Amino acid sequence: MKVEIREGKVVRTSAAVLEEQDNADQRRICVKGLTQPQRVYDPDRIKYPMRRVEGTERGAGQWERISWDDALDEVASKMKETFDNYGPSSVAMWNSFACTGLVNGSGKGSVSYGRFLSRTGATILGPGADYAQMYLFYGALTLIFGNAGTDVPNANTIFVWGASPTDAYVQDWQFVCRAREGGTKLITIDPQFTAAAAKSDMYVAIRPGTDGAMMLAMANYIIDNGLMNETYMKTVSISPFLIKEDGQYIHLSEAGVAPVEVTNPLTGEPMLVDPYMVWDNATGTWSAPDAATDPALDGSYEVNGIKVRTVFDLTKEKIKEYTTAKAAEICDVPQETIEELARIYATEGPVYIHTNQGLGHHVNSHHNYKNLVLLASLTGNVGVPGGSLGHASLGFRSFPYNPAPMAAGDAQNLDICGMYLPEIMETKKWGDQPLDIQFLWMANGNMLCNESGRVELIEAVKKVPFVVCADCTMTDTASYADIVLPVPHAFEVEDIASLPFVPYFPYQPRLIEPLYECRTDFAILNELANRMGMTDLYDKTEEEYLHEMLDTEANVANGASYDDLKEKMLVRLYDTSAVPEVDASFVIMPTGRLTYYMDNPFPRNFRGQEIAEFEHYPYYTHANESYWENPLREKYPLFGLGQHEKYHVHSQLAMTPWLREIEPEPMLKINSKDAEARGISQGDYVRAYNDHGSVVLRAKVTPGIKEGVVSIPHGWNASQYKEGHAQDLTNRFMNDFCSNSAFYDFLCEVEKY
Amino acid sequence: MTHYGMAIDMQRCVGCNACTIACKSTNNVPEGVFWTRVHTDGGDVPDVPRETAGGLYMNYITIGCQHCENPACVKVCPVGATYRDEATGIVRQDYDKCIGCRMCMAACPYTGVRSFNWEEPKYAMDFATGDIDVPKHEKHVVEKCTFCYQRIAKGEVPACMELCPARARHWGDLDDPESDVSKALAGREYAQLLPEMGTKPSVYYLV
Repeated sequence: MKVEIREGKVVRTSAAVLEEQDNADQRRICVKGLTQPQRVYDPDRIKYPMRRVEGTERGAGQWERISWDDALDEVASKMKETFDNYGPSSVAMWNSFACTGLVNGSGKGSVSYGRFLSRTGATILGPGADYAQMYLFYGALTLIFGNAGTDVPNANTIFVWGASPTDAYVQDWQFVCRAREGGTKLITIDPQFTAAAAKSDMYVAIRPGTDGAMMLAMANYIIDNGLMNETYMKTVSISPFLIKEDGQYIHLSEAGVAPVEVTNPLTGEPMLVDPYMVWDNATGTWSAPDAATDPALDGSYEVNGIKVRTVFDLTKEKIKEYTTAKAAEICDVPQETIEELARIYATEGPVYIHTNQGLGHHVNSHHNYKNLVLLASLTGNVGVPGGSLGHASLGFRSFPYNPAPMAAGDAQNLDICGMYLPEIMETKKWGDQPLDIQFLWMANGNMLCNESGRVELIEAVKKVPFVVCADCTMTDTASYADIVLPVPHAFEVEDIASLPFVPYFPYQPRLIEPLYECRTDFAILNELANRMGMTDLYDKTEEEYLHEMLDTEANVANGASYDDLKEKMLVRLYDTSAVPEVDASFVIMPTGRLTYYMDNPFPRNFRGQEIAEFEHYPYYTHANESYWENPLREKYPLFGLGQHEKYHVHSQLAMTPWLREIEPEPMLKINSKDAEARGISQGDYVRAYNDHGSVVLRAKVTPGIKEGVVSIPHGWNASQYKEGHAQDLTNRFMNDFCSNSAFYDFLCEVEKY
Repeated sequence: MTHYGMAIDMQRCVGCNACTIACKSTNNVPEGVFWTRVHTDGGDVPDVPRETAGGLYMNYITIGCQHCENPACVKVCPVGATYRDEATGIVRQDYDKCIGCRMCMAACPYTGVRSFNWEEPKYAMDFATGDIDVPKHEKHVVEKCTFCYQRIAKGEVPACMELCPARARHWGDLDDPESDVSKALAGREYAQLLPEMGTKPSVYYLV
């Protein structure tokens, strides 16, 4: 980004001019980036430390200004008292995705919080949002990021399914345009008629929360009609791998072949390799995967007296009930449409499925990601030019640095999803372990605006004896604190983000002095540590830590040291080989294959819960609330949904004046027929309600949302609704495997207000 | 002599309003004033489609001053405050000469591209954003898109053109067949707004 400063003020933001081809491919900005001057001088910036007025309720909005010394003294003494009296885990730090700075970001991925947490052993409460996709695609199942934007035009067909390249990720749209201009077919599957849908050759209005059933039906259609790419299935996917009756892979050692010692290419250390096993039809016996001439995709076999079958054989059996006829009922999409989608996906490839977390906000969501990988495995649509699952802008996701300064001790931290706070406050336990949270620190996120089950989360926060929030603006979350501490806008802090997204080091100079009395998270934690007697915790300045992290031997040799970045600001990544245009990251997983099967499915937050058998393989089950046959629909007939809109970065730009000129207030999208049946006209105030809560806002009456579905907007403050909050309709019930905030998974009714 | 013009690709535009904000930021456009805005060609409110026999239909059209070759506004301005700059083909507005009669607004067939400052212009912030050489916005004058004249004068391009995330805009000299805008028009079917008014706009829409 290019930031123009005049007389000490940020007066304009634009896209930085990059080197040659990067200018065409990587130079990007969206409406949100362009509003940053007003984000810096946002009317809801917190200007100085404040304390909740004694005797007022949390959330009542009554504040008194206090000095930094008073604020730090009070917070430090409460924190120390809590550590001393209740132990390390009684102090919890709740974060989300707001800042990824290596110094001032969140959790153990930053110097400021990482050193504090690793020294004290405080509890880490992480986000729930987005974890269905992140947990499965970033390690638990496989590794999938998506082919680069520049590869999108190589696709013969693009499915927009669970992401919005015209709203949430508009930087990807230009690549879709390039593809369309070259003749690529565009298909959008979405309950809402987005701008991408309007530009599509085919639009499929699916019922929310049922995508997984459609995926399995497509898989069955592809299998039953012989549309599979068998070579890909045998050589790239997990399909022929043999598993035992207990669901575990069988290895060659179980057939009497001793593991061989090889050198680990990453560490240089010796390691034992015990290969996986397939059945070779060419020889009629078992074999190591790469040694087989014709690996069997189907069937059961016996190896050394052990009963085995292929992963594909098991999967076929488990998914076979989801015929296209059955999915048509579940998804409310014509059977022939599902069959056409399956045929196109299998025969009009390569297909780039532009997807992200849009398929991840129901309680059944994480299965979608196994099902998508199954589809790609059947047809060869991952790891090839134009064939991908993901969204293009994730491209460059890391750069070399030394993470050592992020730790300053070896204290163990309980690291769990913050969405469990209500049950923790209720039971004072995490699983069988006592967990008595007495002090809550909230930073780097607006959980009480953006996570689901807001009503329950607020009640839980109210039960914590002392609550602090450090933020840039007076968010819904900050409003429930006892003490709020002002932190600066990114332009006021020198730092480096952990995710580059473009092939440049994401260095952020300090462009202007911190406004008002803002202090960085680092400075605040440093002061607290000193007051609590941990005077050696931060033994360097922020700049010295940046030196330590960035001045690796390789960075220095390649002109990317801290001094280089500070001087040039825009330094291209010198090694982009780890991020090729075509994403085949999945090969570094233990199986080396594209994997839709988990031999040891392990939940994100394990506390002794039973792990269902179906966690192993592609699967569909109804969402928690959002399904047609739910008896609750008699009372609340409308399927809830939400959208990540073009004028919001979650709640970050809720008050930004230029954006509010375009879109002054939140609106609930309701289908014209549903509105008519309820006597609701365009722009009327309506009340949406269910057993969790209610919200009053204006109606946007449109044929562009599926009948029977309403969508609540994401990213508005409580103060911007006439009454209530969109997240008051959602509930905290989460999937126990991936612990995802399921804010699309609710039913409601809407009435004229 | 140059005849600057713009072509906007409606197959690419998704109504994201980046142009709207790039314009407001660059030209320090006051609260409530828009030199360019996004209209939804669809239902009755923004981002809503309409039902057609062929299914749902929605498209976007961004509208600002059309910088006409035969501008209706220029003909009616009694004081010569609005004029077509012969060197660039850009239709300009001289705030010093403008007497606020709003004849230009009435004459312009492209409703909403000009606005009149009834009051002292208001801003969210107490300093001007954008380019330093943007003329100060004034009370009791008519203002509109300048094609970022201050940028053109420096050999740059309009902010909406430069910062469109969809790369939907093409810019250049309409009289030069090698310009980006001429090449974009050569390869595509295009439309203009209200051609029957005879204004000969310099803004084209690739359909």
